[in-house]
Amino acid sequence: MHSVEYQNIKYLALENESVLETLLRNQIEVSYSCQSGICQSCILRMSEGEIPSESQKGLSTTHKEEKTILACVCKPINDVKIEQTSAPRKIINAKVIFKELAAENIVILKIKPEENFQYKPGQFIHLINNNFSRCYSLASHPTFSNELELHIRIAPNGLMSNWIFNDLKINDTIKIAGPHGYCYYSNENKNQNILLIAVGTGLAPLKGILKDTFFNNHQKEIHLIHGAIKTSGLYLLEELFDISALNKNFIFHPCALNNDDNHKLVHNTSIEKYIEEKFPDLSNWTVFICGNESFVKETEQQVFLQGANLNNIYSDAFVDRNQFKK
Amino acid sequence: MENIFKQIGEDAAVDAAVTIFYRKILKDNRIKHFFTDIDMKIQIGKQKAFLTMLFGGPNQYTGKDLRSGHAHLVKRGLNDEHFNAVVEHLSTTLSELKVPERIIEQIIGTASAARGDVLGRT
Ligand code: FES
Repeated sequence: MHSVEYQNIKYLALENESVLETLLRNQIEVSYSCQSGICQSCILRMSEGEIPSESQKGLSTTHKEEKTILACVCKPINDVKIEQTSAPRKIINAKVIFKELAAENIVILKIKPEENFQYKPGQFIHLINNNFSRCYSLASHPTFSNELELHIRIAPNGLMSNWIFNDLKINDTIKIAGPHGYCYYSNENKNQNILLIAVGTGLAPLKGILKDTFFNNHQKEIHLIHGAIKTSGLYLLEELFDISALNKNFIFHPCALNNDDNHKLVHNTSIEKYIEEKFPDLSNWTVFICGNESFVKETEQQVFLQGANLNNIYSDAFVDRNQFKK
Repeated sequence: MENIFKQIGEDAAVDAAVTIFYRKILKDNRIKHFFTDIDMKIQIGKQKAFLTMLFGGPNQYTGKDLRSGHAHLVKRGLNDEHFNAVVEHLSTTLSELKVPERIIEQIIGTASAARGDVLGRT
């Protein structure tokens, strides 16, 4: 018989029992619904142990790589360790190397972990400051740099972002944990055109993913749409134009609702309209979407309606904590 | 019922069906507002579980799930007209997938039986 470890306690799995059944039998609260491996509401992560292939049926490639399983159809083959997909990872120290204001309210921060830190470009980490922590996506690529690049929007009343902006100095040490997330490039996407869509600092993970498409020598088209309210919010405009000049299969599409700088190459339109006009048929595309929650939800539906296959839509939504405060 | 699921091609058929079905729903002005502010992937997982149940595949989805899952929508005005619209899309989806008429009737019959639970009737 095998054991199932969850939150530091080991439970014995009965003969032919699924991980979900073992947990429920021991009165552990986990979410589930269909109990047949279809609805994906029982998703958990198997951090240790051999993953039975049927327990990953229907999951995306990146979910599989991150060792997620459907607990209701997962019958352990050996002793396993199970955790929530968002369970905290090991905390390590990182040193602040670079900090610069990239736009009115966006700081680019580069930090160097003090020990080996592995991640996929596009994943996110937790920054931790004493009693609070926030998630930020990685714009860097581990092969090209051992520094982690983060784009931080200074939120009005944002505890972490204002602390970073006002107090954090070069050479300070900061705590990080991670990585997390499933929004990254994988070999599965090799034969498809890629469309990256970001608003605001949603650009950070997509910059990481963009580098990864180059690193993997992606042969098909790669398009990046970056949207902001004002042109001044398109904080990597020059850099991205430079990159697209060097890579013939990469095209950059900046969009601003208010082209305040009258920049010739910025499209004065909403992302929604732009996608509808320029990318009417997305059936052979892999689409990555990052930004605030409502933008991500709407855009996911839009690209799905324009033909994108569900399994080819990757997204990461930033939750604005302040909007929940009364 | 078990064999409808087998006959129409098991999981692959459910995947194909859910994609077509959900696109129809999101395009329908009568009902799309019930779906626009939710997480699409989670929603599609539930639709899949529901369709699998309708097709008689392995499932534990129950009337209770349907009831509690729709209670907040009933508060927002979910009614027979909306339910009918969804059933209509299900039926055309199955026709498009060339599911035999006789089987479609059977599936729609099962789906219609969920009306009371979905609309929170006693
Ligand atoms: S409970 Fe539905 S997939 Fe496990």
